[in-house]
Amino acid sequence: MSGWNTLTLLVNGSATVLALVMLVLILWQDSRSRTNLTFAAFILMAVVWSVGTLLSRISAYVGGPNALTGLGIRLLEVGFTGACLGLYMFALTATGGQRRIITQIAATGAAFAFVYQIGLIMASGLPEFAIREDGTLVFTFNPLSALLYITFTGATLLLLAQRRRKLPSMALFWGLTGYGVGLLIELISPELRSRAVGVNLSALAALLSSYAVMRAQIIEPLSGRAAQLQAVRDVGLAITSSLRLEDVLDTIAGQAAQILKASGAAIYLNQQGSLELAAEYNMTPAFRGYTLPPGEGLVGKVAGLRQAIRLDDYRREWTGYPDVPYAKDGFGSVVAAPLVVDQDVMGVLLVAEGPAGKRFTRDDVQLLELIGPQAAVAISNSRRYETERTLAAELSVTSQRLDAVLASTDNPVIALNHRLEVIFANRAAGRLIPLPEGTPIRAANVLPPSGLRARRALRTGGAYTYELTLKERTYLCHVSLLGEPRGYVAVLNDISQLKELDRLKTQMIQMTSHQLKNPLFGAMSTMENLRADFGADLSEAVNADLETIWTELRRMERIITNILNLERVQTGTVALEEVAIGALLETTLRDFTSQAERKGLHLVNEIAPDLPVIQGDRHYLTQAFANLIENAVKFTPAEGQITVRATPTPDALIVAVADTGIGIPPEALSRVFERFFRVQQRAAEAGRGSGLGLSLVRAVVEAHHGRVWVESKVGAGTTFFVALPIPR
Amino acid sequence: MKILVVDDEQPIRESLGRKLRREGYTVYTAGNGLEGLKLFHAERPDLLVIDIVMPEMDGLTVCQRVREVAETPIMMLSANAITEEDVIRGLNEGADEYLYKPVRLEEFAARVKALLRRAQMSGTEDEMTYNDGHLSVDLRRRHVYVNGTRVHLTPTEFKLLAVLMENAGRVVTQRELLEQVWGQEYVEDIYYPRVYISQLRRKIEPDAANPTYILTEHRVGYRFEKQATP
Repeated sequence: MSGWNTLTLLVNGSATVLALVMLVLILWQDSRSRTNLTFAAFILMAVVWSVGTLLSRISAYVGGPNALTGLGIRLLEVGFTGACLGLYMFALTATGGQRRIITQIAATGAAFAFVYQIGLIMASGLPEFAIREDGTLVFTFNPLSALLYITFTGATLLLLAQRRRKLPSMALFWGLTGYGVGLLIELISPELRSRAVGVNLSALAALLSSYAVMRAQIIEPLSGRAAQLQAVRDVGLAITSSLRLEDVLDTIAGQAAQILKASGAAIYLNQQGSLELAAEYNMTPAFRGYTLPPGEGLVGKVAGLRQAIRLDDYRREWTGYPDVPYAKDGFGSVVAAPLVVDQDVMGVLLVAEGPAGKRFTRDDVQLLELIGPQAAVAISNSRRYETERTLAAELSVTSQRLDAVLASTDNPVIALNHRLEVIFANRAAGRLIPLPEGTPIRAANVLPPSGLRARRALRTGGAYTYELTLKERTYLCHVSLLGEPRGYVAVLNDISQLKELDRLKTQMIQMTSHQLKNPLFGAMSTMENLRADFGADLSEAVNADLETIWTELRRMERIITNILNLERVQTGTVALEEVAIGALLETTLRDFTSQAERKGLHLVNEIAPDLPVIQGDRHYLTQAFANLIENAVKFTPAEGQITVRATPTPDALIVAVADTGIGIPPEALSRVFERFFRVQQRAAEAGRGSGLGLSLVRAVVEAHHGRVWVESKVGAGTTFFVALPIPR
Repeated sequence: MKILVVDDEQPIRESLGRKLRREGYTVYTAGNGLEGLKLFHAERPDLLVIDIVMPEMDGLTVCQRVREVAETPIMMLSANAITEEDVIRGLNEGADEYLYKPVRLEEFAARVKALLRRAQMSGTEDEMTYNDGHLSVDLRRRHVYVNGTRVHLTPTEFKLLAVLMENAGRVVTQRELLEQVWGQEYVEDIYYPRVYISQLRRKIEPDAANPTYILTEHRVGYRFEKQATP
């Protein structure tokens, strides 16, 4: 039996030393962890038990003094008590998830029990023990104490059995269970106890537990570090493998869940302060789009604190707004980390385990904190990319639409650079002017006749329009400045049809007017005969009526003549000859003498002597000045004055016809030269005009390359000016 | 004096006729060109007044047909004068006068009178004859020969030639020409001389494009140059 004892002692001693070594290592690794501290207390007690066992047994074996053996047994009892309670506390801590209050109550109870037992052990006298012949120590536990130990150990084993899965490893489970069984053996069987089977089993189990804890606390984290780095690298690779925001988010969620060995993950993105669930892994796709009010939810808190938060049990620890619908039913342990780029919280990454799943560790939090920034940068990049892609797509669509519009329009459109080289021509333009891009437009002979005038118009008004004949069609070419790059854009409008319509309109007007001339002549000549033959025989009243008819016929004649004159002048048929403008003006003015006198008007001749001879159409010029003087006579009340002034300047002859008449309201001034325009206030008087007199004046003056304008003040009078160029 | 009025517009025809009758002329009227030509041959009037646009035969054609056989003065009356070219075309067809509708009857009558006066005016006042071998003119008898062939000139053309020859070697201004050939009331009708000069050149010049008899004094008038007798 001595061999057995020796073996027992050896095992016990070695296990104790090893457990102590491991304890030191664990405490060195993290002395503040509650698990580690509890474990340390437990192992310390186990060591005390082992040391007590060793001491008492060795003392008994070598026949040492009873006092020493007794001390050993006391030590043993203290250690046993401590180990028993420590095991329970450690099991409680290691399985975790208990309410703090229960842990505290259990701890307090255990502490009381411990102190009480120590007191009891110290207070009692030398413990009872016997030593067999072979030196084996035999002792018994106090039955009350034994009951306490059995209760705690039983509770421990029950706890372990129930919450087995909460433990970080099976080795720890077996270690702790084995330890509990060892304790029970030690308590229940005096025979086995005498053989130190229980204490040895417990010593080995403690060794196993230590190994398990050390593995969980030191080895796994160390070996995990490499795996973590690998995982973070994988995350980096995965999230940068795509630029689409959706893909990136899915990848991050998936990777985070996998690295933390969690059952699900979600990413919330910051949308103007609110967090919206943008991607999920292994949750319900329907959660996507779920939006939390600003600052609400665990993720809201994380975003606000800019700090990761870990909860061991979401159901119990989180009382705020749920992070997903039914989160309080579905979440167990949860870790959430902010996604921060350049001080901005872009969102929050949340990894969750189910209620029965594992608990996340500080390492998990650190891991998530490592992934976070990478994910944030990836999200930021892909968001930028998405924006750019959207912009590019829109730009492309716009550009295509513009191309389609330009291509489908029948109007030729050509863009030129500042060197007048073609930089763009739509299809219609290509057909009309087949010039490849980069060719100077000069080659097509389509530039405006006066480049100088065009440039000036473009500079001042930004646009210039001219007529262009190409392939037997007439185009109106509208040129405008191109902003950047500097150049010009020309849009051509085929106005051949309009021109033809205009020609037909002119022809129509002429035909109609001519057709009217025959009946008019018939009526007028008959009237002349009537008055010549019978005028003397008719009553004054009839003669007055005939006079009215005659006046109206004359008016009709004037209208027709004016329409035809206007058309004729506008179609450019003036016959230029040498015209002594002074004589022409004098004659014209003289023709109105009697008319003016009848109305009580004073005609003033201020025509300068020796006016130059100009090139002009005598007929139309006479007509134009007659119209001006006639208007003045018509619109000037009795006692008024009409002045015809003609003065030469170095390059033009200025003729002014001024009256002291009723004047023209300012708003009508710009329109008096329009065809058929009549100033409203003059309706009664103007009823006798054709509304064409001033149009003809302008047409005639412009056909002579001159200029006509008017100045007027209502109630004071009107002056019409005509400037005719003098040949050098 | 007999005057034939051809116009498809009955009221105009009537009015013109009435006016002319009142002035003491014998007036015949026709409603279209064909009828007008028939009446011309039947009555041999001293003057024709012809509307241009007419059914059956237009005024210009009537004018041509008349000119083939006679030098009777012709007055064209038109509502259709659009441009100077139209007027010139009318005059080129042999008309002596071109009036636009509507015209005052007084003016119409005055022009008729002036035209008749121009036509009646013979070379009797002037005994002058001219012969250089190519062109031979007897003003009194109103005979003109080119290379021995008789050339028919209208009264206006003849009068124009007479005025130019009377002033041979001297420039006659447009105004003088208008006054002397057409009459005081025509001084504004500045294109008359141009048209008649070109007609005259076609009839008497060896090459109308490079005239040797009737020379243009730019912007002043015309000058008749006698040629050396070969």
